[in-house]
Amino acid sequence: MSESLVAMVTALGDDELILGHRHAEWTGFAPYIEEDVAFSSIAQDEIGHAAAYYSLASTLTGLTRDAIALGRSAGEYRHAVLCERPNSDWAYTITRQWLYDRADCLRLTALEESEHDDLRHLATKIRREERYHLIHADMWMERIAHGPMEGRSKLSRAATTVLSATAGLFEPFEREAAAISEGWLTVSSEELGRRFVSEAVDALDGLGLPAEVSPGGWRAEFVASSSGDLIAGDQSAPGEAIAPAGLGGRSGHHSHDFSSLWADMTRTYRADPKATW
Amino acid sequence: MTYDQRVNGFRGYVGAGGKVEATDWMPDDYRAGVLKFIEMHANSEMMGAIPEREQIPHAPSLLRKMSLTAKVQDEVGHSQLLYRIAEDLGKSRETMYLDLVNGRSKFHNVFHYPTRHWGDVAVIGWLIDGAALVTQAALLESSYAPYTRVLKRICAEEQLHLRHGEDITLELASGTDKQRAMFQDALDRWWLPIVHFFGPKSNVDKDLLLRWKVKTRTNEDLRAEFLDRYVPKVLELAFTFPVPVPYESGGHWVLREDAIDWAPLDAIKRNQGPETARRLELRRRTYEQHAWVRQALAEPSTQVV
Repeated sequence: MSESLVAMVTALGDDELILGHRHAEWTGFAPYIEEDVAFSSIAQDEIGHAAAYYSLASTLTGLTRDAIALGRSAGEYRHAVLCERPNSDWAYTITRQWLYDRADCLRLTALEESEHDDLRHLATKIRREERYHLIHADMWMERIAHGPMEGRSKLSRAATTVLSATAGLFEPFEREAAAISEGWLTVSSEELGRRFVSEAVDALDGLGLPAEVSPGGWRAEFVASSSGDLIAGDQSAPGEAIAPAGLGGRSGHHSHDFSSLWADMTRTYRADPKATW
Repeated sequence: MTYDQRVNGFRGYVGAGGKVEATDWMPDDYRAGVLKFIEMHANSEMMGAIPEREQIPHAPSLLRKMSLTAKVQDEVGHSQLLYRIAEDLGKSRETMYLDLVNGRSKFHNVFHYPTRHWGDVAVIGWLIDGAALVTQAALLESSYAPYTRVLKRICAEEQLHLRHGEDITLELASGTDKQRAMFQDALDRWWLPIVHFFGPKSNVDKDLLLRWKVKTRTNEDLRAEFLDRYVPKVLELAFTFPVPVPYESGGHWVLREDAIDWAPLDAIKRNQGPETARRLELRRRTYEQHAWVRQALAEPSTQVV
């Protein structure tokens, strides 16, 4: 069993599960009926991807898929904090999905080079589905960004908040150095993050949305100018002793938002862990 | 030809099994009756999504989480199909939505009740969907043709939901004591609303929808079919019924009329069920919060070049 592989696929599954859980909260309450149906499909896809990652972890650890998904304590989850944040409004939800899918796409492209056959095949399959999610999110971002002022300003605010928090998606996985040396991961999270920021900033600029990365989120070296060019930041910014918002998820440090999500999500499973459902 | 003569001709036509299309001539009462009936069905699918979606976060496995999400998604999709054919009868979707959230129109009684836990998902998915399928299958013979076409598709999907509900039920029934207690608790709370679901005894002389064959069977007839089909199955799984307790008589499962308390149904008809106000408020608020989204989609692009 490769511990670094288990750590990585568990974190990947956690991202998908927790975001899928949040997405499913829109089911029945999306802005209009057609979107309700579309967004529910996306939620199901994300949860399905989580199931696939956990299945892979399951073959390595012997734990069942559902035990991995629902049987861990809150501190054992390794998703990025961004995924657990409440849905807030539609602008936040769409912006998060849009940036997450871009991040995921880069990550999956790297995983398609993995030395691990099952993981490589899985990455190809998931990336195919995520493409449709991105088309969906692109449509919304364009409509809102080029639409009336109210939506546009909501989107601007969301872009600022979400972009900072995407840093949490590129914190290194636990045992990442080992995963890289064993060939499971071919590009480091840090490098993927660098690629992501430059791509995301371009895309936001393209929509005329603010692309300033707050130093609180991304580490100083990723601070971007409003024009989208990456500029070098001050590595030792004074007063930055507190962990930046949105970081910590990959080592199991979550926000209060996750405490309630976790309690809700695992409630039935925990009611009788011996049962099959 | 006078209006009354046309109405008589229409009555003869549907009486002989004739089918009506949206573009056909129809009496005003028929149009209003069909519209109200389909609108209530659409509202019910829309509001029916809420009780089950409340349990999606608590689903006990990944598969159940996905399938419950898919099921609620289907129901929202059904409401879309139904609102569309109701629209053809002369009322806009937006007006129907506003009437719903402002309490001016109705939705089925079972969607006015709270859900408490996973046992509710089993009872709703099996018994309530089972009850709905009995009534919807009967409507496949309705005189209003566009409705029957949509119903055909809805019934096919409801069959799948029913299997999903039955599957969850069997898992609980054959599971641990805690799981069995979950189902029993849900059954205790839902049984009376399920009995109510079919409505009080039909007044065949007064019910225009029956006369015009929009509906083809009486409420008590449909309830009787449901009882015969589901009561033995519930008993076979060794669960018990609360009041009104069904009993066997003349080869059928029946209820004592005077054991049925109709007061909760009467309250719901006035939109005063346990969850009515809260759920309508949820819908209303969501509708208001999304005014800007509708605006963003409605307006042509205002991008500055």
